[in-house]
Amino acid sequence: MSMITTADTIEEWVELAHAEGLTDGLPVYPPTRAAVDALVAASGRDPGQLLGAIPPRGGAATVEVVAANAVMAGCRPEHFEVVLVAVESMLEDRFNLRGVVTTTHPCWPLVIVSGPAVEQLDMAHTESVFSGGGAHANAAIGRAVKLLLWNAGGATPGEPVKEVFGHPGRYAFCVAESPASPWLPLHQARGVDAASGITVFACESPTSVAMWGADDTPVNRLAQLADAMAIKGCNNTHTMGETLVVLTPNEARHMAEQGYDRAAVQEQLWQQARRRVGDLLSPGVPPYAWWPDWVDTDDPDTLVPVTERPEDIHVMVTGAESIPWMAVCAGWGNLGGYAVSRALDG
Amino acid sequence: MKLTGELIDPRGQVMVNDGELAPRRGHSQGPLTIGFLVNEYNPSSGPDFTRYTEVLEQEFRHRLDVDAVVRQHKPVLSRPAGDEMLASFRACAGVVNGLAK
Repeated sequence: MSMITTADTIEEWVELAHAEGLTDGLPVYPPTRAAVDALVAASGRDPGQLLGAIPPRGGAATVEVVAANAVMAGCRPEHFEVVLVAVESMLEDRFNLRGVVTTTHPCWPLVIVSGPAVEQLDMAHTESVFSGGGAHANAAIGRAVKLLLWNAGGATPGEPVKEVFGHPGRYAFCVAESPASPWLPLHQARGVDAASGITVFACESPTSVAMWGADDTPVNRLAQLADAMAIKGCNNTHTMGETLVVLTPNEARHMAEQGYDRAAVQEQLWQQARRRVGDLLSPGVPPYAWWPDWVDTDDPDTLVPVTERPEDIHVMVTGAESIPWMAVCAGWGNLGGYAVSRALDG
Repeated sequence: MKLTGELIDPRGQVMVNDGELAPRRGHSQGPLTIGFLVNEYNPSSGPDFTRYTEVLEQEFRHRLDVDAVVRQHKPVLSRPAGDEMLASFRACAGVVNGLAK
């Protein structure tokens, strides 16, 4: 493993990291040999094990290189396996990592941790969950992913990243699912047979959906969420793909008490989160080639769903218990960034 | 605070593709066909790569005696072209791929 120019003091290191472009503007810990070795040892993996090349630069993500970035992010050894599994997940073809990090669209890989690992790692899952909730693990894991994509991937603004507006989650984007969810952990619902797991999904920042004016019926409450999922200009509305919705634990329990499981929520949202063809295409604009054949583009009253299938609407439970609330994190559309789930303890 | 010991480079070595380029083809192997793979199905605004490939086609035919052209449009710009689309380029000596932004 190559070394970088050495620094004699913390202060010199911080300046060196900025000067060498090893960080995005925030200070980072020095990736000392001792600290990196501690993370590698905790993983039980070979430091030279190659997870893959991080696009677009193509830097080799060995366990040691990932550990160097995790140290810079402030990860403890117990956080490191989450980072490694998140990297392996993002490198699956269906995630299209190259596209996610360089696109003009404001999406970024969100790491969702679910199962007992949430409490074992002391992760925040109540107030302010999408901004780390004040927890070390949420911030450090999300930050480690960011720094790896920055350093090994070379994902710097301008060249090659063309993101027009950016995304606050690019500093760190990791959340934990609530242990108080009435439903299976997200990774298990997606078919991963393990107590704990992670799901990565490229998405926008959460858009708040408060229950103003809604009564207690699930159909009407989900209609409120569906309206926010199908706004014009959103990639999902126009191209489908996958999307993520978030329910607070008390909102999810309310749904469950009314007989709604996760699949029922997905189905209800799939039916309701739609827009008319005539609303989506101005006169003279040809129909999109990417819509499936069953979308009748000749009829302006055809209702187009935001995903091709109900299961492409990912439902997670997290947040505070003070007020039932919902949110939507729109995806990149049919361009990629699709959810990948993997086991943490398998 | 003093730092001791080495610092590990977080960037990783760039992994290079060691694949070989395809051999050049010319008229000696029969008619010369060039492919154009357009990344956007419907340009919503700005430059039009389809139109650009039409200009290129005229230049290729005029300067390089290109005999035929295969032109395909990807339905989704960020996804790889499908197998069927790639197969249509099999007879091409080269393929120009891009979009206009």
